[in-house]
Amino acid sequence: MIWLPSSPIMSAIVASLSLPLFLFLVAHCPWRPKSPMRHFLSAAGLACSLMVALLLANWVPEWPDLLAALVLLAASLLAGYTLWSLILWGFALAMLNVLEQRHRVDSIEGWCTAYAGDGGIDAFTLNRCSLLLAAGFARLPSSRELAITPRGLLVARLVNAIRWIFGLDRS
Amino acid sequence: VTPAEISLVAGLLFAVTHAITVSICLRFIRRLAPVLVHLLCAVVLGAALPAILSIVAARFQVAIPFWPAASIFYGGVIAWLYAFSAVYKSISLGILQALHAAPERRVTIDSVALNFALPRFAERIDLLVEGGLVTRTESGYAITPQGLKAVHRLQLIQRIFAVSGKGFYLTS
Repeated sequence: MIWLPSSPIMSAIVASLSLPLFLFLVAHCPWRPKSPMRHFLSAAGLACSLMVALLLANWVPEWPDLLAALVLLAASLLAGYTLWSLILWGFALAMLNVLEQRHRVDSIEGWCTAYAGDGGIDAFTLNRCSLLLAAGFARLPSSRELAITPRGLLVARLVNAIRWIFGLDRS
Repeated sequence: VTPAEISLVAGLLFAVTHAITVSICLRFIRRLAPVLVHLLCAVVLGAALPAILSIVAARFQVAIPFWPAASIFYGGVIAWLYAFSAVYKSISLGILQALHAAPERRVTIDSVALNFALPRFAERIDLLVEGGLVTRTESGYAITPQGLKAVHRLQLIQRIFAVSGKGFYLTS
């Protein structure tokens, strides 16, 4: 068995490991993107560019290695994005952050107000609903009512299918 | 068929086996956190992968490269974990499911807040209490020293990457 990675796979490993460094460099450069999503995409773009440069420098024209390298980099970016979204939008961690600032809250409603502002649970609900509205999965036929769109219906069926595959409907 | 192609196919087969194993194990193992079930399956199959490849290499007298198989397997593990995480506790997708199940496929925001968002909020609090990060007393909720450690660690990471996470999505 050959244990040493080929040069395309080595390029993917180096590019994957460079992602945290690029996230750090983008964070501290003068043209830092304001949106966290663009921040991540800029760093991911730099990691991809590094891999392309390394591939061009050590070109080995064997497609299985190239495919494996691309899958490896894509998986690393996906794993990086999962951690990135946890740092930024992790719900439980954000709740904990709020509690640390307030030291103590007297009830669930009080915690919710501390987390979401004066609107409390209503503001929190509207924030989560806004994602569905922005993605075109739901619409607001009236100001206080939410309705599913045909696209949302498809996604809901897909979500139900994925939940069924993982046995989550029984929990 | 080249040795690298054999390695790719082996990685793909192991990724599919991992997906099936995780889906079955999640139905029967309820005591372990689901992420740990994913991790355990990945570790066991990840350890079996080089062993199986070595057997195939010895059987057919070819030098099979390890990394194409490992890359495809690792990619499959991450993709499967991502698919699971997306549907496991997502509040937005939960609201979408509630909409899908509702009569006439529409609900009021108040109903979503009361019957969906607030229970999910309470669920997360229970998790924080169970994890020892928060204490629940008669006068309310307070952060524990363990919780403080977790928050300080998070704040340090946020400072390193110059981001601030309020847990709110910005869609505009």
